[in-house]
Amino acid sequence: MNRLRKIFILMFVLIFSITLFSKDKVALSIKSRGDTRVKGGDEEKYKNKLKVGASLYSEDKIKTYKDGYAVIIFLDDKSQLKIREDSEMEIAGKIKGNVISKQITMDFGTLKANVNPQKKGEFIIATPTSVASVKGTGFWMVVDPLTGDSIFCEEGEVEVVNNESGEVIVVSGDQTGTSTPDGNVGVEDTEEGSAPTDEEDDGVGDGDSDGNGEEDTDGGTEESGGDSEPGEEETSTIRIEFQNNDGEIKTLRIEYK
Amino acid sequence: MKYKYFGIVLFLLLFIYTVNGQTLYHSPPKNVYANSSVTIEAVIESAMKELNSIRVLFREAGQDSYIEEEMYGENNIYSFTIAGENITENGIEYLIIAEFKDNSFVAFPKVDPYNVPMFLPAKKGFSGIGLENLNQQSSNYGINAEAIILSPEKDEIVAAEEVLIAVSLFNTPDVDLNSVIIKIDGRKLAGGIEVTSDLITSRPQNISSGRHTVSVSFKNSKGEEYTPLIWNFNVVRTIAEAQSLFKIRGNVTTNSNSEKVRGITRNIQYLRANTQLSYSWLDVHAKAFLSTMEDPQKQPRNRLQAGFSTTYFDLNVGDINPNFSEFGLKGKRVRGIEADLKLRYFNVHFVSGELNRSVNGYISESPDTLADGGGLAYKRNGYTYKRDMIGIRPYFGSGKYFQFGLSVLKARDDTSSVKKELSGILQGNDISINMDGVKPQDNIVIGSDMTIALDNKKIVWKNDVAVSILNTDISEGAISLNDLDTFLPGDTLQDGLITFGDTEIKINQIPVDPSDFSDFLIINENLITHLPILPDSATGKIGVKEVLNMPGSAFKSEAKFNYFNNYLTIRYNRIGSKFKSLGNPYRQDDYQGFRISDRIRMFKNRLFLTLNYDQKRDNLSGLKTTTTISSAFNAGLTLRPGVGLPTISFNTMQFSRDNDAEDIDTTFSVSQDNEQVMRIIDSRRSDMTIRQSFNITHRIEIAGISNSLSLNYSISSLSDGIDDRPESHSFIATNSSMVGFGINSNFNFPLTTMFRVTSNINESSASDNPYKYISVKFQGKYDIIPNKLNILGGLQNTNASGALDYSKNGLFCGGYFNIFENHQINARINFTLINDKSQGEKYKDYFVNVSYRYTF
Repeated sequence: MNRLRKIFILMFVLIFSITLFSKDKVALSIKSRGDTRVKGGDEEKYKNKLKVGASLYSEDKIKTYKDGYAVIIFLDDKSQLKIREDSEMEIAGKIKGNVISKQITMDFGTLKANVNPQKKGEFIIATPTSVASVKGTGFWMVVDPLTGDSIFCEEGEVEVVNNESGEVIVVSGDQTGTSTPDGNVGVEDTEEGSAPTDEEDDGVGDGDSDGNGEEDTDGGTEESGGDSEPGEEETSTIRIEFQNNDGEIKTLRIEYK
Repeated sequence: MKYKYFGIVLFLLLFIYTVNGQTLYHSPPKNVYANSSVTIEAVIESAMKELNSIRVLFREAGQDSYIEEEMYGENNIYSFTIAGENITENGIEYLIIAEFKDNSFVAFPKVDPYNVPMFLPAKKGFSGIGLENLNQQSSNYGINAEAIILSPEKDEIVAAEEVLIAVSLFNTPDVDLNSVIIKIDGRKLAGGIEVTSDLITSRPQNISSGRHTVSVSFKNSKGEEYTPLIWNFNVVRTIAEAQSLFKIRGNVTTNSNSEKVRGITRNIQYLRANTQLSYSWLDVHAKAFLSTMEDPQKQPRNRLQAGFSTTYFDLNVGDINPNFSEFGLKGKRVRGIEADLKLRYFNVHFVSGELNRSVNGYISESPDTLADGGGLAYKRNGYTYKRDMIGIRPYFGSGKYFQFGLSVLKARDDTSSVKKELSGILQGNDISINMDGVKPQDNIVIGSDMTIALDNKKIVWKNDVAVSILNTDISEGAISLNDLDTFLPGDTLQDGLITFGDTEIKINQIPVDPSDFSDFLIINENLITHLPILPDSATGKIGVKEVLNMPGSAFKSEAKFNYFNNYLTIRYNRIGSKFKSLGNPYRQDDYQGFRISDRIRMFKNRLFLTLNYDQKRDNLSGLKTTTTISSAFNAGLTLRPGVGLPTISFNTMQFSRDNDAEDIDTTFSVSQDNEQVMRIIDSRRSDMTIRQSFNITHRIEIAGISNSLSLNYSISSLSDGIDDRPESHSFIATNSSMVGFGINSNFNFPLTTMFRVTSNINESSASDNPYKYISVKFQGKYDIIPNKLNILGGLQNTNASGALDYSKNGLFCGGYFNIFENHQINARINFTLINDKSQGEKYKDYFVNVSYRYTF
């Protein structure tokens, strides 16, 4: 009976663990330069360097330091985020059928989004100040929790709701929208030179790419290791995917040093 | 005759505007889609006057400046096709202006068309390709996969250390993960490939610099092969090298139209090319539009433009549409150069070029014989002088908080650009040639503008003021000091004195010669200045008010407030009766008015209420016999309760015009037959137009089919408020109503359909028989290969009865084919059978369009 109980508890823990780590794979890192790190939603510290080619799971967090830069791309529609230095955000996605509803929770920093038209899902960028809803557009977003958000729209439209006042602005091509912590919003024509520029275009960045090309190739198992936080021991992660007959995938992540 | 019939149809459909015998018929197009071209058509009927030009000015809704294009046509029917790239989901605003030889014009919309243009909402493109070019297959075998190339992009320049080959299988669920093969330049990668159920990635090492071809092939679980993904990319040694390279993109489109409309055939071809190059801080762009409709006897149809922009300096040459100043030059096409120096605190905007090119026109075939042996006189008409302009606007401040600008704009016709003698007819002793068309003009506009923005632009206050000087005929050049000797009426003696009344001024005592200023302004008897400034009748002083009230001045002040979920705008305009800018020739003049509008957001932006009131009064200088006050009130309510619930909108508009004429004038004259003719003229005006519309749209899903339902109902009426008109007075009162229902469906498989039925009833006091019509349209589109090969087809039927009795049955089909990803061929064929029972005639109309587009 005790043995049966142990087996039952072990199965429960295993199932619970799988459930706990059942995050959907939603995006891929296609560029990573300088000090750019990633951590799972349940991890406390940014121990792992973001590698080119690394899969990103829902609720993974990315942080770029002073010289960091990353480009991530979503798997369902090729929507892209370019993340500049000194930025931090969580990438969350929920798979519904053949689309991913995406929500980026950005604490601070600068990103450029090239969002392809969303078929059924949604693309939301939430900041401490605002929530931006995107249907298909290209725009820059500069987020500062103290001074608020600036949205530099290049094409298409971005609808921004201010969290404080609930006011809504629609920022269109060649316009800049502002949303401040005290509830104010505004839209004006973008001044020449006021929008951020893409590292890919302006030559910023040290070109420190971490392409070691050492990923496993055994399908279903992915190892993501890398540089450690200064002064800390390197941590690596193994993700194991389980797929049932319905095609549903659960992932177990194991960290080791 | 056929076109007269066509014009009547258009009139009955919706709109008709008549000014002094000139009539502009226009029916706004329906079902406008973003990124799809739309044709604007107008019919001009003018029994009295000769048309000089007809132009359409359009812009993306909400933008400031217009793009101006000339409409072309035959037999009084004119059209212009606005390219799809100019039509976004914001909709499009446009106006049509027909200008006649005597400088009069008629416009659509008639009232203040520049400021209140016609608005066309644009629907999301029916053929909307959601994810453009995601599938970049280039082979013709295998099952089509929904795989997406993630990295590298096609033709991307990537550093060797950053090469990542990645393909998403997110939308391709049934892939045998062991079947994946990646080849680079034909060589299979032996290892380093990571395959999961939703992703294929590989990071090839030691890849050399240069161009490479990658192919990714895979099979499904049954062993059937998917179409492989094949694309090219370029590798450079370092990231820095990749960043320093030029980036170029653009497209070239050729289009060929052939159509037959009521027996008249027309063929038009055009080529359109756009390209953009970027290198770090520099962006270079170029555009070209070349059409077979280019005609040296008309204003340019072709468009050429090139330029570059940087943070501090922009330069454009070719056909440009500068947004230079509110009153001087705003949106009109200029063929020349535009430069903008932007140093933030001090900036300079400069424009120079040609507003009109010279057109020779024609000469009368049979001359008039002048009395008293004066010989033969020929008439020249249909010509246009070359009109050059130059403008400079230094401005201070970026506009974020403050901007102040000063502008000077000068435009002058080149009198030597049109020769009097034409077709071998030379002036001589017995032959004279008279230029009977538009006279050459000279114009200066001096203006100032100021913008103040406060509280993060929640308060914005903008002011514009300008004065103009116009010379209405410079064909004889400037007057000289010697000419002044005999300039004044009655002073015919060449005696070195200017004599008026008892006063005499010696010519040699005048310190300046007017002809010395001819480079700046040609001064002669045809000069209209902004003087006189009339002093205040009570105080006798001249202040700001008196300056602003000058006939040659224009003033605009606008304040915007964005507080408490209200977006309030208050605007005051005053355009003097003599204000004229040749760089902005279609602006309504001689009126003052104000506009108050508010857009209120309620219930967390679920409910929007829009209120507008606009009033204008003309005849500022009292030169007209009557003064007309026009008022427009518009209210709109839009309810968007949220996902799963219908969106409802209601709009009402009331537009009235009243003048101060109180009496009926009666005049008597003697005809050529010595008969007494009595004319009764009723100049009183008190008419009102009311329009109301109701729309409801709802999206529902039935059996997995996503349907968008829409119901529209609108009514419109024009009525006369004066009931004691004389019998001879003609006023056409109208009533119309329209109801429409449509359903757009997206099926589970790649089929989308559209069905719409519209019914319209038009009643007119000019006819006892109301005109009714009902139209039914069905269209289906099927993606044979998603994003690559698509076909569409449909049917349209219209039956009309009443004042006009006809039926129209149309069949159309078309599609597009993407070849090798960069190349797209589009084709469309329409065939229409018209049975005109009123005229007893039948027509077989067709329209064939083929286009090819290359994107790079």
